[in-house]
Amino acid sequence: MKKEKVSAIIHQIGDRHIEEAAVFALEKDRRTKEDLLSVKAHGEKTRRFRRSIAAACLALLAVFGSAAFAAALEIREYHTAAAFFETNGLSADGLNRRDVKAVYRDITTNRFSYDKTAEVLRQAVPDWEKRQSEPTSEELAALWNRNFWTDPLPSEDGSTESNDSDFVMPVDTGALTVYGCETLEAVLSPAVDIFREEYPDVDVNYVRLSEDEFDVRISTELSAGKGPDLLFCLSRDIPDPYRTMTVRLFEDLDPYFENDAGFGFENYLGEVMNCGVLNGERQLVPIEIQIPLYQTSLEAVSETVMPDAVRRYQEYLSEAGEEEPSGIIQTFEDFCSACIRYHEENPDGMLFPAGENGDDLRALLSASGMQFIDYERGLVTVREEELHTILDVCRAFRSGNGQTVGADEKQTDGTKKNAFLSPADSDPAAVLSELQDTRRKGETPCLFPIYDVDGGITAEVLSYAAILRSSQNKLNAYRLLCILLSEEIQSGQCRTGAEDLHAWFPVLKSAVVRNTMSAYDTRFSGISESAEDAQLFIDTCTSVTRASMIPNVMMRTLYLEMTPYIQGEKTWEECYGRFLNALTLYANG
Amino acid sequence: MDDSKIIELFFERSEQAIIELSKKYGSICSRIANNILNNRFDSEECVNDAFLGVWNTVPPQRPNSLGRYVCRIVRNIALNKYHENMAKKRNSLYDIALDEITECFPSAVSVEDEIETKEIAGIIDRFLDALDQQNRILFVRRYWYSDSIGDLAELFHTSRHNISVRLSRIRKSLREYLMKEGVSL
Repeated sequence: MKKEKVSAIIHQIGDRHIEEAAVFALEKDRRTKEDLLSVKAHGEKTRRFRRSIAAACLALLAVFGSAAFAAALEIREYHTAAAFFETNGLSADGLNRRDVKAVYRDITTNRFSYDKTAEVLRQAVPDWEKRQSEPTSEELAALWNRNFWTDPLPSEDGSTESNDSDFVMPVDTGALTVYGCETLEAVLSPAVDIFREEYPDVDVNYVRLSEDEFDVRISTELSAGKGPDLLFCLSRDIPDPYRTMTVRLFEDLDPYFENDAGFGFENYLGEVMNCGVLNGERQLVPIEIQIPLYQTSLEAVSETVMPDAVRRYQEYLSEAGEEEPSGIIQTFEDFCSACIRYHEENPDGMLFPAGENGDDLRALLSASGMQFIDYERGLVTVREEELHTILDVCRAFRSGNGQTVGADEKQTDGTKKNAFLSPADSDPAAVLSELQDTRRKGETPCLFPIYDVDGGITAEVLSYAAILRSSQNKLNAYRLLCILLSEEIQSGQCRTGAEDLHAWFPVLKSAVVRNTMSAYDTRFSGISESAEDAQLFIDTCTSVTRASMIPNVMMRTLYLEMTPYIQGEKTWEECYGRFLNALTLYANG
Repeated sequence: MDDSKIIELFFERSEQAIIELSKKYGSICSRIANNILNNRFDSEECVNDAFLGVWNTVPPQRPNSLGRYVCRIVRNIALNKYHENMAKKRNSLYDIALDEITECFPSAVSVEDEIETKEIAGIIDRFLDALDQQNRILFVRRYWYSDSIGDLAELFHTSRHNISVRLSRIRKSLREYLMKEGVSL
């Protein structure tokens, strides 16, 4: 009944909006057709050549995401590495561009495991060559530390970095520049309001951009080492945040936090805050995350395929006082096996409900917590067996046209009952309401996390913040960052009167508790089952062990190379080999 | 061809009017119908019925916007057909989009709390007016035209995830807005 009414309401949306959206799409169609026509107008002779070039460009773009952005980062990293060689009197003779960067990374990360590093050090310490022919990493590190490289490593602007004990908070410049767009507005706008209230003397330049302008401006400015004082963006606004960190574009935030008595990492979920640490520097800090928390009902999935993890997790939570979740199957592999069993018994069923969260591959990869590249060492670190398992699940749930059944373009039966799992909302009120609705229908609700490949729970970072090294207003950027991490913003119940700001999960533990209890008190107080649900929601959310980001570049490469396997067109070996090659190329780029 | 010229052709009762209408709006109409029905045969039938509807109503009507006019007709016909087909299964993009947007509407405590459909549509119009153009179009394309996330990602030159996040935030804002306005169903 409610749906019918909503349908009728939506149907009556004003003409001006309908027309605006139609014109927008028509204009896009027209432009696409014009592009096609202009291609057709060219002679057959040039067509093949152009097609090859276009295909090559597309392939490059697909592998590397924003090619221009990646190229700019590469140039920047190379210059940093070359400056490092020069400052420390190292010779780059015989080294190509990639080697120079690799040696730089190897030394500055204190690994000393790259084979060319020893050669570089040999040339720099002539006597040492006679004494040591095949040095170990430890010996090389010791050599580096005791010889004439006793000065601190140079930073990109040429100044020397102080260690944490010498760190002095930057001075207040009286200014702050930050960029926002509609997607970020809900969180950023009240944070800026609070900042203005707390620091009325600071001149805040809050630049509101359209989504497109934001993307373009961030890409362009970051590749030139510039940008707002505090970068706050979605994790996918930059093609590869990890790669960006390797060129040390952002300030190391650890000294700031260590010198801030009011800040404590223990107040945040598990190791979530460490996802932005690379080469010992905390360059990014997550602000919002997505927890792999799912809902289903015992009746929606048959007893035989119900993963033990789900059932036992329910039992565990009902046993008050039990500290260890004994007997729970905490493996990602077991979960994937349950998915396959479900598919065997429900060939038309979906893994996840169709719609916005219907991308099976992305959801499973995110929950698995796997990373494909070790950016500190520039190595590919794909766990083949686990990736194979994930893709086999996607392959099983694919539909006739090769798309995964969960993808919204081709679903068969979208009722939640016919989907294995439904992603839980980050809004506790919505979750409690959904669980109660399930009971009202006479079913037994379940709420549980998918464990990652290491037995923990990995959240995906959806938005993060970072201070640019080039920022002239670092102190104020740090102040705004702290506001974004504060309970007011994290819980979405701030002094500005804005409520329920977050579309996603907070990183602050107390915000999880506060949000949940607030939802319970307001709408479900006195319902004993909802009290248990609320506790279950809090327990699960605060059990998150770490967080990670899946760079756009990785997802694109994965889709590009592995889709033929998911569609059953090529073998695992063929696809996986190409995927590995693409990753290796990228990791060494 | 301009809408005004096509309308003139309708007034002249020229069959060329249907050809021009189909050329200009055939694609968008087919997509609307197919998003709702997920059946090419039914969709074609709906589009043909919609064109016939335009033929029968223009004249005497002279719509300000031919595109808007034909889109509304085709959506109406497709929804009627959808309700006919609906018996057991939900199987279209329309269902998914409708599920998403239904969640935005707080449930009424009692029947007395209900507000008239048209009034709520007006509230949503005001909400859309306050959005920036991109997000407004995104919302309408998703929930009126029932475009898929994949199609929207292509239309807006962005990733599916970005579209999902944007839609999620718009829905969240809408829910808050509806609550402030005292809307419940």
